[in-house]
Amino acid sequence: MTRVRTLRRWAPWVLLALAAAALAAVLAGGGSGEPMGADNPGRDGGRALARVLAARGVDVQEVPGTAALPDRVGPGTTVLVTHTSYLGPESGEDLLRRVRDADRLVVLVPGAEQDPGAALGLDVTTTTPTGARLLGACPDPRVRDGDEVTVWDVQLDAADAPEEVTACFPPSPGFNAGGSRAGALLTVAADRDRPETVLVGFPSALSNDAVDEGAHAALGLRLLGGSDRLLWVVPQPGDAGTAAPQGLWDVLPPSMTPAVIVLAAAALVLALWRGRRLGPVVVEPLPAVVHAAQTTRSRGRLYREARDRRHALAALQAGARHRLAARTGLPPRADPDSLVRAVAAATGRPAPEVRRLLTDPTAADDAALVTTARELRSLEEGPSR
Amino acid sequence: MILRGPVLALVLLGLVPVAAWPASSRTVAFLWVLGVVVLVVADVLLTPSPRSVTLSRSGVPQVRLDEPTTTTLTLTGTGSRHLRGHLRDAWVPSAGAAGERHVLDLPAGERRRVTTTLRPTRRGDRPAAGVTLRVHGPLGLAGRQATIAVPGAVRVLPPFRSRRHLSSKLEQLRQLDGRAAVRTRGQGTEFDSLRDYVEGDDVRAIDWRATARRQHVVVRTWQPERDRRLILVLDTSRTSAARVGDEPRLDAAMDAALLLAAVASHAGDRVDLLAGDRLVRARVGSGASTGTTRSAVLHRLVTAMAPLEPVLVEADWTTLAGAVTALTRRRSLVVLLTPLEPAAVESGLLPVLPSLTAHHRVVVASVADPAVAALRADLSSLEAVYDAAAAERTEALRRRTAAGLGALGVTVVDEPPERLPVALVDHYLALKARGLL
Repeated sequence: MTRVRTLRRWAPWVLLALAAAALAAVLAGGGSGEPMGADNPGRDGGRALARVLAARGVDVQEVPGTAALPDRVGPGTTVLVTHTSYLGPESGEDLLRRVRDADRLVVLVPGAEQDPGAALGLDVTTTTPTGARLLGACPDPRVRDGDEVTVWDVQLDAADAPEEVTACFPPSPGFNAGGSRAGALLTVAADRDRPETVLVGFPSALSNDAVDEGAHAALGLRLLGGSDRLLWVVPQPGDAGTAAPQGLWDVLPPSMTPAVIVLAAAALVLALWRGRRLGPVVVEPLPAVVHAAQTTRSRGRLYREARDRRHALAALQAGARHRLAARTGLPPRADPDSLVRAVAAATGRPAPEVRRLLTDPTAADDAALVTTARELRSLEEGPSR
Repeated sequence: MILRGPVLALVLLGLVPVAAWPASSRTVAFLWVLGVVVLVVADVLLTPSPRSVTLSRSGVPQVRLDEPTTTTLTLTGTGSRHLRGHLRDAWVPSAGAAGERHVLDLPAGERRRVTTTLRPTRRGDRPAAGVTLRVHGPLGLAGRQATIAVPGAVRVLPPFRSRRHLSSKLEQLRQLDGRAAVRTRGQGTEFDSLRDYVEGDDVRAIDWRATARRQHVVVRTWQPERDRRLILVLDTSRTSAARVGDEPRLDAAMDAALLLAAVASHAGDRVDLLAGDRLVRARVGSGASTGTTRSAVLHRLVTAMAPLEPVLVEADWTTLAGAVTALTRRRSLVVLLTPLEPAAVESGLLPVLPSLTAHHRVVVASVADPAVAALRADLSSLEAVYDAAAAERTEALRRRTAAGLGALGVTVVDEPPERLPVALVDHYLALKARGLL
């Protein structure tokens, strides 16, 4: 008894803990949820591309944030930055300083609200694209004639940039003929301050979801597989400033934290104040509630489930015979023939009909059973009703 | 340890200094919360112990079901401190305690009484569950609480709802007086007195010798037999646990037994009660002490019935019949209050009955279920027709069982709960009128 009670008391908590552990395991085992993360297996992840690159002999290393990059990235390395949301002018400068000697810097631009130009010191504007698919159409060696991109996110425009910029995948064929430099892929040539920098306006095309369409896979491999080593940088919120927040306390405004402490204490006090009962809950054993008519109802259900019209009608007729015998003055166990005669004489109904109602327990279907039962009742209660 | 509402206000008040000194607000907040904790702990330590109270309860109150009663708890302060706080006199839910929470205000060394109203919802002994004392500390922030077991119970007697029929049945009993002379003199009637003849009297009752001595015609009057034995046997086995309407069959049977016992004790008969299933659970006799008044008999019966509950076992009629035989060797009226459940009666009661009927007149009083009659009457749908057929079958089986009992010379009274007491008493009066006891 005590053991059962202990079990009842603790079982919900144990189950809750197990459920929480299972949930945590599922959340932890699924890799990072970062878009274009190298270990993100979701639709917007980049694991497919990263795995293929690794299989081709490229040493793919995931780096959590630009601040975690080595101070000076050496040659023979390509650096990929998956977005620029957390890059300000200062941290962008820091990034360029670190990667100055690298082979190439590839920056993905997943949306027009990003401003890679400001972060990297380039005069580049972003606009939301309109066209459906793009063709290469540029002199960049990594882009071949007929390369096609079916999904893209941002149109990049470097019309006024002083640097040497090659624009690929223009919004329409011949768009750049007049000297403008716009497209979904901009390559800025290396100079004293920066390595060769590639801005990619179609990260969706490189994601797990769409990497197998068009020339996406080939473009991805050519863009990222140029060196022996690939540093796959997933920017972190801490990249933006020098004092990176380490936890919840740093994110909250400083004057709010103590107020939260006080309110939490108040909530605890409220729970302890209202949660304490004035004495334990009183229990008592209750009697079993069994209705006397339960067996009768169960018998009725059995008749119904078995569609046992014969027994049901026979029971109704036996009851009616018993009461009619008493009413016509016959002994309770009078034989049916004399009862039929007496009832026919008393009611004026034809004897065969009375005989059928009182002695024939056959009913063709449920409707006939109901009809016969009601006729029997009206015979019993007399013609006055 | 308990916390009180002001602690919450005190903690929330900490928002003011936090807002006033934003520079060191975190320190202020921690210090404030720490200060509140210190105050609460101090208040708990300063609170007098709730166990420094002696509790005692007034005796076990007796009450009929559905009627209210009160229970009084006496508190004596044994400590040196004035106790303030709250008090809860907890009872099981079926005791129907209302207003069980009281304000505690007990000066040191003094005595206070608190009264709780009880309106029980079930028959039997309904126990108290313990008294919880919550004592507040001097600062009003916290306090201490303890639950102390104080034994107590309320004895809930059968409601005896059929007592509204009692006066009319006693009237019928009085009319029997003197009428039993219709039968021939001899056994079963007792000479009572002589009185003047009035028109309508049976001429055979005229006492000619007395008439010759006096100037007018005198008749003898007879009173019904007195000092017969009536043995009520309550079946508390599983078949009595089934509910008819809202209460077990056992309660309906008790109601009938009480009315019969009340009428019979007025008629001057000795009433004994046996209740049991596998064991004899209650045994009450009225004849042992001759000085007992009629109301005392009824009270003893009611008190004996109060704690009886149906048990989920089969009745052992051999044991019960043996208990009946042990009560008396005189011919008695034995009323078996048991449901007419065909299977239980045929396997348990029928084999034992001949030994009872050989010495006694036996009546079986059974609580019928009006729900079965309602099922039988309803032909409104196909399901209802099947249920009606099942109800007919149930009634046919009961009739067969009743016929089997009748063949053994047993009378069967099978009525729904509200008619059973009257039907049983009518049968008793009919037997008495014919001098068949």
